[in-house]
Amino acid sequence: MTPAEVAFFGGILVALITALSAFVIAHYQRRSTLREEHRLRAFDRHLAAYERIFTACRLVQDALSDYHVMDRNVTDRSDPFLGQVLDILRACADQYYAAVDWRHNPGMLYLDMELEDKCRHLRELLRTSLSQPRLSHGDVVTVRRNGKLTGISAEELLQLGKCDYQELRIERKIVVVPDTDDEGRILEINKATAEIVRDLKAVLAH
Amino acid sequence: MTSLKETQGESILAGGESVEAFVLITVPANNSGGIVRRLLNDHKEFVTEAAAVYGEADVIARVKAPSILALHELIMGTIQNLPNVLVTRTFIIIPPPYAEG
Repeated sequence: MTPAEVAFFGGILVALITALSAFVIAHYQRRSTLREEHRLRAFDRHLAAYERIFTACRLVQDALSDYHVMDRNVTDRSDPFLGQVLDILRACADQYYAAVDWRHNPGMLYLDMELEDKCRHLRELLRTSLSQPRLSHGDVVTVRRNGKLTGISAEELLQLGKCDYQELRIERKIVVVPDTDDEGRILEINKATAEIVRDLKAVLAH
Repeated sequence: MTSLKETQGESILAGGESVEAFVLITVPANNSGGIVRRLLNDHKEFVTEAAAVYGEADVIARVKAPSILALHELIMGTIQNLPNVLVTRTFIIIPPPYAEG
């Protein structure tokens, strides 16, 4: 092969390598740009889902705090307000369960695994805590004699005659029964919600 | 806290002097109509009148039982156990003729 031919083929080879490299670089740049655009579009589209979890988590945090305060300070566990606060906590927890549903929420792909695990862990903690039987029903019987109310048992009621009272009052009481593990669980849930709120804030800020 | 469910049954038909009473019933909001209907339809052998009212109570029923024991069982075992009934207040009717005073 003459030097001219070598130079000719060498030039073609260099040109081919250059062209191929340029093509590969362009291809990867294009793929990278597309991936980034797709990620941003998906993030925008699923931002509402992130916000829903964030809101639900904050609601759980507030409701739990209210319940904890009431639970510690209440003297009569049949106080309807305690029951209402528990109902609110349950409603907020339901909202959280619905929000943290990874199977129907492809937006969660863009959260990191650690955060997903934290959200799931909180869901389990809430389920464990709120699935305990907490309400007990019963009737309280009182009679008014000479203007004075007196509590009696159901058996005593059956012994009473027609003129033994001025008024018979029977009240259905719903008692919120405390759980012995509540204190530890509430602390754990509080810690978990605080962490999730902090992490989600960072995601939403991004 | 007690329940009288186990006392319901045959004893409600026990004999004795019949007795009438007004029962004032407290229920959550928007449940008065349902209670009135249930009292008049399902317990018409005991409930002679029932109506939803404004004021301290939500429903007032007039009930008649064959004895005081049956009345107490009716109140505790039946009316108090109707869904949504929170409080019942029972006032026994003094049978006429009334003493002059």
